Order: sequence, then structure tokens, then C-alpha cells
Amino acid sequence: MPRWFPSPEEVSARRGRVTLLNAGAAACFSWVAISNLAANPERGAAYLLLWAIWLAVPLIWVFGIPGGRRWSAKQHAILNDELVRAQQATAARAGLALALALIGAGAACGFLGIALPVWAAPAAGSIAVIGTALVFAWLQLRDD
Amino acid sequence: MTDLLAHLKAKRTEAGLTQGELAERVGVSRKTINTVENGVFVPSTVLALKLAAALGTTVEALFELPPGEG
Repeated sequence: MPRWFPSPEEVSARRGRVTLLNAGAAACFSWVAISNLAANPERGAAYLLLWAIWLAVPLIWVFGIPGGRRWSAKQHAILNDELVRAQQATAARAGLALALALIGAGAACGFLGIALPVWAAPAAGSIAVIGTALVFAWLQLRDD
Repeated sequence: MTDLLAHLKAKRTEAGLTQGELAERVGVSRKTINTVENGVFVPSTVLALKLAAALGTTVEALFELPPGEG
């Protein structure tokens, strides 16, 4: 058995904390990018690119395998064991449910003749991704 | 809500193993063993078989369905 430093439990807790921090940072940067998009729609592509990059970061922490090349394949398998995969699936289900609810709300607005602002779609994407990250962080940090 | 009764803790204690030692034997984290023992997480067939093999027992001795569901 390879030597662990830190232990899998510490890595799991750190992963939860970093995912939580990244979700917070992604929320802040999404807010800034979407505000700028609403204020300067002519530079929309640049703001949307920044928005997408910041949203990708928490998703990497949710669905990526921590540790990079520092640890062996066996250690990576323990860090992403079936409990973690179940937690990733739970987080993905929550994110998908949020996305579907927001799409439903958007569709309802369309039926009611309410015009959605330009920032509505990216804001819905941010909510779905940040929701996914928050659920995963909560599951990782929860003391079972 | 749990839909599986786990006797893992009793069998593990009987075998004189800690959660960490059992986790190392089956190749999962200690938290996974803890969640299975507490009924928070229902293990896959593969993990259940590995747990049974590591404890020298059968899957049926480790887990059972709640009364009325079998």
C-alpha cells in the first residue's frame, strides 16, 4: 500500500472546501461577467468567455480526480471510489434539476409574453453549475 | 431513508478490524466504510462482495433487506 500524505479523508475534506471556495468565486465572477454583458452587449463574446472559464473551474473540482501525478492509480481509485462517484452523480442530478427548472421558468415567461433580458441564459447556467458545486461540496464536507 | 440493513459494523468488530484497515483491504476510503455501516450509502455488488471476502463471510451475512421487502 502506498504511503498517504495527507490521508484520503483529509483530501476529501480539502476537495470539499476548495469546491466551496471555487463555487463562491465562480458566483462572484459570474455576477461581474453578466453585469458587464448587460452593460456592454457589444463586448458580449469576451464576457461570455470569461464567464465560461470561471464556471469550468468548480466543475473541474467536482468531476476531476485530485492529486494529479503525485499519487498512484491505486490512490486515485481510492480518492474517486464509488461513494465519491455516487456523490458526483447526486450533485449532477441536482444541477440538472436546477437547469430544467430554470428552463421551465424561461419557457413559462415565453408563453406569458415576458421578454427575458440578455443575461438570463448565462445567469441560469451559473445557477445550475454553482448549485452542482455546492451540493458536491456539502456531500464531501458532511460528516457521515 | 435506508433500504438495506447492514451488519457490517458487527462483523468488522468481530474480525478485529478498524474502519481504516477494512477500507485499505477493499480499496476504498474510510468514509465509504463509515457511510455503509451507517446506512447512508448502499454499496454496489462488487463492493459488497469485496467486503464479504475481506471479512471472511458472505454478502447475505453482511446485508439484508428490511422486513417485508424480501
